[in-house]
Amino acid sequence: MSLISETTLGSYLSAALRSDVTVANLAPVTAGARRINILFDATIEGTHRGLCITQLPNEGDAFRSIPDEVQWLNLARTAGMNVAEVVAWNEDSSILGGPFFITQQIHGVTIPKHVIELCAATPGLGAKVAFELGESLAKLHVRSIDEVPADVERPPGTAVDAALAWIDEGMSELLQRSPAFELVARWLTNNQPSPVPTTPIHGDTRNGNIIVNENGLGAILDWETAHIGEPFEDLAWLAQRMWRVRNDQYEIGGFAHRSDLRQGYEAGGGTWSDERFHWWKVYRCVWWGLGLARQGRQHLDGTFRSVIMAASGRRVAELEWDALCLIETT
Amino acid sequence: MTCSDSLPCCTTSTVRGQSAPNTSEGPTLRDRSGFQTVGYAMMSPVDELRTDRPTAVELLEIMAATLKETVVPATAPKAQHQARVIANLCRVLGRELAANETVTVPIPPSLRDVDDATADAAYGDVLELVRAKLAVNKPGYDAHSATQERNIIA
Repeated sequence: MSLISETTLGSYLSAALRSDVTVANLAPVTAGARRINILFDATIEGTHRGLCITQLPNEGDAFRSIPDEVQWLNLARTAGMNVAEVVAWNEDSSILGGPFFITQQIHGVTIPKHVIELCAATPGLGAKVAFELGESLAKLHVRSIDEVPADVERPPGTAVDAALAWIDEGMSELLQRSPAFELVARWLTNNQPSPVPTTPIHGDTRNGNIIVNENGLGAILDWETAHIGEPFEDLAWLAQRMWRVRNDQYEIGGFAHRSDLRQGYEAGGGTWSDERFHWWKVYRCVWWGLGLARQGRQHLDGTFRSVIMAASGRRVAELEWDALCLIETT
Repeated sequence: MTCSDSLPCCTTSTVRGQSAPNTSEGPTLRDRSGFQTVGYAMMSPVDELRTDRPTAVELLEIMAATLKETVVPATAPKAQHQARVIANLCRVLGRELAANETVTVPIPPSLRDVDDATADAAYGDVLELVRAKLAVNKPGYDAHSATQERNIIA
């Protein structure tokens, strides 16, 4: 159980920052299904600062340890990406009831619908956010995998090999066959892009994991699934339909065009390829479809019984449709 | 059991969960035919009498509406999301029960390693199969087609 309160947080920060810190105005935010995210105001030696604590209430639920995630955040910040600065972190659950890290608070919206509404109401904002996303991701993708936390898996082959192996695994686990995904898997096998070196990637950059404000991209959030892969896995994930909240006239997150993302990516030092973008867009579509099927199965086999997981099984057809449409466009 | 077309009981058959039976016809029919209650039950289409009104579809409709209008506003945020999902599932089930169209498309045993001609020939059938699932799970989702996706990319 989380032990976060104004008192416990103030005591911890006073010790961690070796300063006199008082905490007020704890405000839990909805983002994050498993994690706790709480915004709060800190007064550090008389200076006010907005901060945010992210906590994993149950260590068993974490995809990655707190020190690893902090290392990714620091790598991203060093690279010049839009990410929040880490102020403090600790793995010791006795302090606040679970491992946590504390970052600067960044003003803006995160809920996909709100991001789209803000972009629609602010001329030029959507294009700017996409440009900054491209620029930020390019700055990560040009970094060496040697800078990635040591215990992050280094896949032996190419990112495409790893992706196709994942598809095989996901297909073999389906409770019922998916003729649609069979056709799409066939297409992915027959249209593999040429091998390129792997790089650090964020892994879950999308509308829903970004903070957007009237000035543009505030930050890229949630480094839980950052890994070593191929740049276009990041870029093409932004183009999936589910992040558009029915605003399908804009490919990128429901608020921008691909050309905006591309311009930013090239400005940040990245090399663009529509062919690679398309392959990874198809891959990530079926990847997520198989992920939803897995959630449905985990409900049925008792691994994770939940109405949300059960409902995921009924969403697979959306991804089957999207993936079929994508392979038809070639 | 089959009924003769000349027997008025058969004219009242309804598609389960779709059209509302004319409640005034039961007693009228019984009066006209002279059947006792037991006789009427035996001669009516069995499916119609196996469950009471509201039908499954009608119940799912009110369950979804109650969750949305009453339960969600009175619930804590985490449970609110679950209540919304359950309301949506009620609507999915209602559509599934009401759908009486059977999709039969011949699809080869596996499409993973087939030749181009087989894959191309199967594509349209597979698309129809997915379209039928979407009609239940997410109506309207297929309004955004391959052509539209191609247009927004260009």
